[in-house]
Amino acid sequence: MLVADDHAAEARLSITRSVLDVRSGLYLQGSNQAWHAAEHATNAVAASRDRNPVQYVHKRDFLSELADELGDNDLEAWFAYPWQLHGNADQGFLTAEAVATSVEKTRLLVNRLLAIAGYP
Amino acid sequence: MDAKQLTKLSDAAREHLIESLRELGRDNDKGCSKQLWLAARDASIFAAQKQGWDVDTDDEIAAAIQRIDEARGAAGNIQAQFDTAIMFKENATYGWMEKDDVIWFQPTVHRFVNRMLALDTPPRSEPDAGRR
Repeated sequence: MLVADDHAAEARLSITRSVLDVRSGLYLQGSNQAWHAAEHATNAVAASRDRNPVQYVHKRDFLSELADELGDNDLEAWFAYPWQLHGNADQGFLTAEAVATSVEKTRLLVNRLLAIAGYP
Repeated sequence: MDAKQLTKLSDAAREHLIESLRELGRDNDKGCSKQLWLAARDASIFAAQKQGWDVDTDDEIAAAIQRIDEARGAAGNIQAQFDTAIMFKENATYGWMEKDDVIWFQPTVHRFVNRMLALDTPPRSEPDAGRR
């Protein structure tokens, strides 16, 4: 199982790839990379808190717990960006502009999650 | 600002939220998504009108929400809630979200609607004392 360090590194790598993909016009690939970045960042937080990410059916369930712990309901709303990109990677319904915006928002979410995990 | 119009908008937003729950109960995820979007849309127009801004198109509504987020120092949080509602708008058309997704994200739209309906009218700017 990957540890928090590995998840944090994967998150950073994936979001960087995502930004580069979108700049190159590879919107579906960029969407998928952003989704993976958010997943790894969430796993980094879980691992940093000695929780096993795979025990959650959905990463979102862990995020809900985390939002409650932090008293930050707004955190959940930010997960809509990578989730939307996840759907877009399969079905391609987002415009290029919407993908670029969602990737940037996902980048901010990833940074926020990594800071929570202790990787500012 | 027309008080009757505002009341109509806030009532409509709340009714759409209730209808979204009914649609969810009927296993109509697309219908639920549409109602969530309509609730967010009406609540956004309500909030914009309270600021004294007339908005009509979806682009104008999105711009108003961005302004409200910035003016309230919400650091993108209001925007993220609104964008969750946009996600439901897309799902009403494309149906890409699974039921679990709909269930998990719908409280965010409820929070957004309540947040918008609770927004205060901005204070009027004071006259420039230096010109007296």
